[in-house]
Amino acid sequence: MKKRILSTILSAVLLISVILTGCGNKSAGEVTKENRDESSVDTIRWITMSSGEEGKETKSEKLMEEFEKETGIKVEAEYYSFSDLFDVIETKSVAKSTDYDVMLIDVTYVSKYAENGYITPLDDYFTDDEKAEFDNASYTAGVWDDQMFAASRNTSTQLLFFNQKLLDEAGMEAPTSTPEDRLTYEEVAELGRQALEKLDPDGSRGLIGFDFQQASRVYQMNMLPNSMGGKNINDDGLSLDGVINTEPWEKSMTWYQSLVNDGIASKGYSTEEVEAQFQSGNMVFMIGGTWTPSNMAVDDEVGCTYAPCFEGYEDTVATGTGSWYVGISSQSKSKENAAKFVKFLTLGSGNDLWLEMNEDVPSRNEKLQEIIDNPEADEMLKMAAYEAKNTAFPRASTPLFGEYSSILDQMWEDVRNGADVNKSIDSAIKQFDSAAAAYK
Amino acid sequence: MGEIRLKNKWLPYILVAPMLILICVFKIYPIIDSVIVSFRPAGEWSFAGYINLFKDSTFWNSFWVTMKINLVMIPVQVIIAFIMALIVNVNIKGIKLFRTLFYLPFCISLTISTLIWETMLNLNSGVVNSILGVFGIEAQGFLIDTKWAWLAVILIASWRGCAYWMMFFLAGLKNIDTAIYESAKIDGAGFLKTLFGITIPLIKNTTFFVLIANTTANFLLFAPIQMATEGGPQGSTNVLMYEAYKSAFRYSNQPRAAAITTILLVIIMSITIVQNQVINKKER
Amino acid sequence: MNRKQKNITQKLFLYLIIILMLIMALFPIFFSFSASLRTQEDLFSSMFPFTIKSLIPSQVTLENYIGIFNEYNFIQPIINTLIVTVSTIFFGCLVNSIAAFALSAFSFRGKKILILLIMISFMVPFEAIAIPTYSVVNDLGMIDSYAGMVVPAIADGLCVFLFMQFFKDFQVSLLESARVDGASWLTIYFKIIMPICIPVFITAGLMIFMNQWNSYLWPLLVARSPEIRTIQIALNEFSGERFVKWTYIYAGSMISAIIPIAIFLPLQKYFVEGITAGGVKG
Repeated sequence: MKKRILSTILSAVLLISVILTGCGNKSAGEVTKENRDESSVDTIRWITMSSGEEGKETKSEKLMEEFEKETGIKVEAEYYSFSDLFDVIETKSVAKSTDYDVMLIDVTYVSKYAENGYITPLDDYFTDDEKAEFDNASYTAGVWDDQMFAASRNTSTQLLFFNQKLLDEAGMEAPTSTPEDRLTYEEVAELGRQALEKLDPDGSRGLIGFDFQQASRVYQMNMLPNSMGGKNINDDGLSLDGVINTEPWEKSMTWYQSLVNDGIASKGYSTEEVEAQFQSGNMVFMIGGTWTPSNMAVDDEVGCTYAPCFEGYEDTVATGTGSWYVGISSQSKSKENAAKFVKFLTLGSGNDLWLEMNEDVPSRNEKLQEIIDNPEADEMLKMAAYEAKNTAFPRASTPLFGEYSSILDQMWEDVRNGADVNKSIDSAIKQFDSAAAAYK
Repeated sequence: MGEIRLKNKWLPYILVAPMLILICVFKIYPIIDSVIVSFRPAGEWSFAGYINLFKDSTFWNSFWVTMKINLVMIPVQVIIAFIMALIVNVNIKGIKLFRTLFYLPFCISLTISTLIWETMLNLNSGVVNSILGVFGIEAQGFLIDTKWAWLAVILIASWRGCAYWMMFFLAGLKNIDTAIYESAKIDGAGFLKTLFGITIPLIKNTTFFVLIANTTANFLLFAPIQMATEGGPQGSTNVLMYEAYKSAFRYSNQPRAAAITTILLVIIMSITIVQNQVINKKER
Repeated sequence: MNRKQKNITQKLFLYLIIILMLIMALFPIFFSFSASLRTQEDLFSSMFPFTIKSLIPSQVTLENYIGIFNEYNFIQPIINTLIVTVSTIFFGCLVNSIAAFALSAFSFRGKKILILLIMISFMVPFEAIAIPTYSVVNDLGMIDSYAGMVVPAIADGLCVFLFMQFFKDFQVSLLESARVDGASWLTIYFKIIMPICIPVFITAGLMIFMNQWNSYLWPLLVARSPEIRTIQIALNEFSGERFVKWTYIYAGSMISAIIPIAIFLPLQKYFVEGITAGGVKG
């Protein structure tokens, strides 16, 4: 009796799983076939980042709707979370998959993808006039080997944010500055220290005085040496010798280490956690991007001002920059339509729509100027537009950006945790030379 | 089992065929492809990929870090898992519940368990440091201090891993006929004598399985490192597999990644052969 | 009297060790569980300084659990993962165990090479073969289907190896006498081997289950439509580029952990003491 029940269950499971497996296959069969079907030219596939917001992709869907209205071309999107996006694009590109036509690309991956042939040049699709619509730094970051490979959707910049509620509690005034008369990093550090003294003298509240939204990430940390005139990499993009073992790097890194050692900046928190601390109202000052105020988890009022400079280095203010680009997969079978979508997203009404929906800093000269000229424009965006135009310091241009960021991220983290600054610099130079040696 | 005589000599091949076909298509072929890629770094057959690797100080750092972490982690996990299995093999009240609870850590995925431990080991606000504080011990940066980070990685991996390997040992222990224990008791054998004289020899096959599977799993482990330490601090947890992962997915350097995993395969196989000699040689 | 005392102290000692080990095993889970019942601000504001408040939520809320099902439709990935997992277990146990049976019971040409291939097949990490495997599965047209997630996972070298090790302890005389009695191999397999080897089938099933349940990279590559995405990928949906919904992640992972446990607990009774009937080494 028992055996019969067992075998019936087993057969049922077998039957069900076979059916379901077959089912899944059928619907997918249509999808995969559709992909490789050259006749369905009026649908393009877009791989992009998921918003993470409640499983809905309202912003992307709106864009795709608009595009279809304008051009009649249907767009189907595939969403992946931030970290997964790179893994997926890498795997599928190497496997020469025809799954996608348009790809959302992080600025630092553009040169790598171009070098490896994952994306196709866009020079045939953008006129010189159109190319000139992008601000210079944004345009250049999408260029590799003298060809335009990716178009900038928007850029980013860094401002000094502060938690007004905490400042009020400490009885301190909100700092103000103008581009000509900026706060210095040293001054902000001092303000952070004062705030901590008043709000959290014994450290039991766990507040952070002054920190970086993307601690231990070159994207942001490099602006410290850049602000002292330091460069990010040597001219051929293959060595750090003579670049990071220079005064701007040594000085700024030492300053940062003392900020951590004095207890004003944090250590032991991962990059995501540092940001979460500000979002939860546990940090007074933070260098961050324009999305900061809208990402607050608490009701604390947030203010901002221009990015700081180092004392004595008022002329070499530098802010981190660069964001997402859009490119066309070299395996795409609908490159013409894909190009239309790319333009829509980066220069056309799609870009207008995107900037409206997101508080991103535009990478189009026209849009940047609009913000600067408009007296009604949001203060933060105005400051951001100014920084993007004037102090944006491009990231290192190198075919080895993966290795570069991996090694330097480590270096910043080691220094944050107290490692000897010069030894860390030397170690980074050595590691990068090793990586570059294999490349040559 | 011993070996049975067969009337139909095609039977073994029929039985093995489905598995063989699937494994060749989905595992062996990709592995061969990967090894070939490692020997064709620039599209031409060459050893350059491996030579560059052997000249790379990062590779050697990873090599020694991998060895260091695994030579501690593997015995620790196997022994603890065995002890845990012994404990849950006993027939006391509630043992089924305890067994399930012990297995719970493995049900939490590696990503989440790393996240939880990261939070618990946090320098500023972690549970572990708070408890240490109660005893007057200074807060330790478990994940940011070179003397602790590698141990923290072992802890994270083992907290979850031991639960898993315990299951296999348990199944092996259950395979032993209780009659043997009865007669040993009658003969007056004590706990340790039973353990070393009867139990351990009788679960030799299980132990062999756990050793090899554990060795493989640990040498190929990198998720906790990717999430919690990113190979740091100062490269002290930059295991080979993490280096391989970075090469493939961050540096877009497939040949380098393939070379590292091929080297890992060689290392694991060598250790397996040694383990085989040690455990199974005694049978003859 | 003395023996009874000894017995009791031994039992107490055992319980003590078990309690200590349980604390070690369960504390992190408890932490995660309590985190899943709080709001994000509550979580971060109470972490530091560490007090009893860090472990017990000041205000228990189910909003995370509700959120993941309502906002992110978490039920779909759970069902998908169950479908994939159960299918893999069924086919996997079948295919791998009969192969292992053949390798343990018979000697035949090519056996040694086969065993070598099987060992190699699991000593290479999936990340290393992700790309070529993707190409193969793509060429077979199985991308974006349940089949694409199940079929490549059926033949598992480690699983074969597991069965082999357990079959080694099997009494061959039992099989031979059954053969003499005229039993077909099918009967032998289902009526003799399987019932006696239930613990190893459960162990293997559990192994396959956890493999598929925790599988991340492969489903990420294969399951392109959100409708068939699995649970580990779904957990990643809770982090965007500029924020992380930690509390949702904890809630999701609690659910993800409960299901294997719910399956494992009732199967406990098959781990019966001392399987006799002469079927094993004795």
